[in-house]
Amino acid sequence: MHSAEPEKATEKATELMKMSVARARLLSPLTGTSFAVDQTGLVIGGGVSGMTAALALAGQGFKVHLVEKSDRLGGRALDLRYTLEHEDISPFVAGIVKEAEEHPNIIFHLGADVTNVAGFIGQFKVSLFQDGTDSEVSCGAIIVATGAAPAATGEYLRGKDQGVITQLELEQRLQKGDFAPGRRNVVMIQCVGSRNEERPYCSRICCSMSVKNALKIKKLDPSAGVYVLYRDIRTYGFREKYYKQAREAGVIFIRYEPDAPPLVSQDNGLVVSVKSPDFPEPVEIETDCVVLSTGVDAAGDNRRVADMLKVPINADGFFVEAHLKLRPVEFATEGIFLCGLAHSPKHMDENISQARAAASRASTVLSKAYLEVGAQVSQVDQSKCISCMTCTKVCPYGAPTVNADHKAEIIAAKCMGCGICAAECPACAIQLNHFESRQFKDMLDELFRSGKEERRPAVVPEKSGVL
Amino acid sequence: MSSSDKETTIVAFCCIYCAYAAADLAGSMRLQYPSNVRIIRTPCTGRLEVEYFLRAFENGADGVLVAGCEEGSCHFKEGNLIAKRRVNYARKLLAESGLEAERLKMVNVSAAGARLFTGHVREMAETVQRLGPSPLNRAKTRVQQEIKP
Amino acid sequence: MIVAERKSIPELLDMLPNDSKILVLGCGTCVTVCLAGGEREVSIISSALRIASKARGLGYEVSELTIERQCDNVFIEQAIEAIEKVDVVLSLGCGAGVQAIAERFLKKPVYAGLNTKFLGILEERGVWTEKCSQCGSCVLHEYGGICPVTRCAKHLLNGPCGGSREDRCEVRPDRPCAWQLIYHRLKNIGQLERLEKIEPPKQWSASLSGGPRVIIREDHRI
Ligand code: SF4
Ligand code: SF4
Ligand code: SF4
Ligand code: SF4
Ligand code: SF4
Repeated sequence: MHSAEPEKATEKATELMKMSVARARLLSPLTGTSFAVDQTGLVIGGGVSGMTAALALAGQGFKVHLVEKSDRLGGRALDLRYTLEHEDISPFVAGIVKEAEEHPNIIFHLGADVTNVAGFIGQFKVSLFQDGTDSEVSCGAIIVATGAAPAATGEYLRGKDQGVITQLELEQRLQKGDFAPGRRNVVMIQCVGSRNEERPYCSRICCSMSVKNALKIKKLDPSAGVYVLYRDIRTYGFREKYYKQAREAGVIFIRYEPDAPPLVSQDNGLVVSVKSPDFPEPVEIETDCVVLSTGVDAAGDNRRVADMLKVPINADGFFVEAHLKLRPVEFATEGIFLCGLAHSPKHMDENISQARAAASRASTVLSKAYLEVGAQVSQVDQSKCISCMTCTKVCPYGAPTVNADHKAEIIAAKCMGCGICAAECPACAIQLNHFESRQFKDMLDELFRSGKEERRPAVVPEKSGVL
Repeated sequence: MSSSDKETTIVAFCCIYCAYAAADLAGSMRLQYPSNVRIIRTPCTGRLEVEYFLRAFENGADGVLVAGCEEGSCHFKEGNLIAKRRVNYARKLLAESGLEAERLKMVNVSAAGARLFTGHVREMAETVQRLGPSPLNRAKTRVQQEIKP
Repeated sequence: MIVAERKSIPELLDMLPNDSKILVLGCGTCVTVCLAGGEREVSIISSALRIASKARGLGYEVSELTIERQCDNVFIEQAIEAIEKVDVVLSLGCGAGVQAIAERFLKKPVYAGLNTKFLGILEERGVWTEKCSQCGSCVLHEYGGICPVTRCAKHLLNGPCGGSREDRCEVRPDRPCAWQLIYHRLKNIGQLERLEKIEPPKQWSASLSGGPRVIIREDHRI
């Protein structure tokens, strides 16, 4: 760093050191508190991810509440028929449903909506609305597995021509046996409604899905012409094998560019024309079946759920983990975990691994009878608080509450230590342990203190970090 | 640092979750950027009080950067948005007090945004160069020169 | 609650004499709640004044203090030492606080750092609205608890002016028409018949129009 200016680099280092020393003079030991944990889990969402997570927890002996909005377990997997590896999927789904249903540790809440989440890690109170009545359950950890929705589209004559279907519909018809592939051209269009303005992300599953269905058609009748119009084929990992198989089976892959998407017309029967950068001339394909690889949409309810749980969602409406690498299946809000399509579009095997990961992280909470709360939390100096309630309004986690003396008090287990309240309190009554106002101010003073100026005497912190 | 040999100083308040990590990354990537920046670590830009920004200038900073996570991806949901409105308030106060508002700026960088971060520092250094040292420092130098025999 | 707003720094610079020692004095009650004159605001304004002083060579020496209530002598006592050390006091209390300080320190110039605005409430984060203009003879019971004296721009006591558009007041389109609110509220509490009563002209002598007011409680005097 700054290798071209060694003197200045040293000067920078010296000053940073001075500032840190100034801050260190004001540091005080941090001590947390402990409280009892309700050793019950709660999973929101009864799809494959949710059930997997619930089973993983139940298998470790924890009671788990499984809340499903619809009246049926299985989620999106119910729409699928077989996997890329050509296994029939329904027995697997039926198996996991049965296993969950029979598990003595899982308490089901079907047709139930989560209406409110109060409390904090170890002691959540979740309100449910089921069959017209409200109820409340307690739990120590929550796993969000609310899934996603298939993205709808009106592009490429979808809804206007019978011959334009989606991959899911094709799959269901192939499985029922009412799709005769003989002597016909099937044109699949990739990235429909994905990687565009509306949904800038890759839906990840559609490439494999089209490879899967293309292989199925070729297997039924090698004479069928299958064309896949794609932007990039993303059959990542071992799925690449099936992409290769598809090419070998004679599936024709034609690349298109986003600014020249294929055109579907129905004037003389269905015709798809595409201008590929790999061909000198535009290609026209006569067909009676256009299959759209529509993407994955975030569940519409995510915003509401996110607000209730006080966890973030991204611009696309999916939940965001605390850290991509370091904390991949949990939220910054402690005690709340994440898995499945609610997090991002991905394949079922990935969802299952993620669900197991989320369950094992959740069990680090549930396996403890008592929890220590982090000491880097904010505290209210009761003698300075004027009960203006500003802190209760600005805290993103609802940690400050009014106590019996009508003063603000911060519940340590709910406080995430952001310091927003401390910087907002108009009476300067709040301090965030380890990041106190005086520490910041002393660093700023020390940085600009000239050699001649007196250093302000070190003040022994009036209050220690002990709660 | 005594004010005589001093050029200019930029204070950068960096959030642990993003800009501080980006600054770290800039270090390990050996990215070159102005050496007169002094970084202060904060658990979230939402922790920063309006007073800190003003105090930095009062003490002699020539530019102040507040670097938080990208909008929508704050570790604490909205700390960076709250910081943005505080920065805007402080800018208004600076302008009212006779200091250029551009000397204080809020930027958003992700933990991987090393180049973005160094770019922002460079930009602030350029702003400071264009505006000259803080008038507070100029005044101080003037007074000191007058006092000198 | 009393709601006030800070004066701009240029206004303060105009007011404060050059080369003087200034105490920025906050008030820890009403004006702290409305984020205008508490400890934090004192520190912000002081810092801004120091910056302005250094940038423009005004020669201020600024000190800071916040007391519980500027309108009470018991608390003012706590500021005596600090006030005696300075040339002028810039009070961030409400108008009452500024005057209480001024009355207590006969030879000390005391200036108002805030504009005291109204009696109101925090409507949402960062938004305060006026609710009462202290008319001196409250008629809220007649209007379902919504004050026409304050919240109707024309202070109408006998029904709306007829100019309201889409629930907004015609004078202040950013505010709801008080009479719409009164009507809905009376309807909700089943007291619409109150609207049939003609309210006689208001006794404005009980308000500020009758001159500065005083309340004397004989039961509390010796
Ligand atoms: S913001 Fe400060 S003064 Fe207001 S209620 Fe919270 S702790 Fe008390
Ligand atoms: S530091 Fe304050 S604002 Fe942040 S989580 Fe804790 S109580 Fe809430
Ligand atoms: S001086 Fe009194 S009335 Fe005015 S703001 Fe302070 S406490 Fe409230
Ligand atoms: S009627 Fe008078 S006292 Fe009552 S709220 Fe209105 S202004 Fe205030
Ligand atoms: S529009 Fe409503 S609030 Fe406005 S002056 Fe007319 S009656 Fe009063």
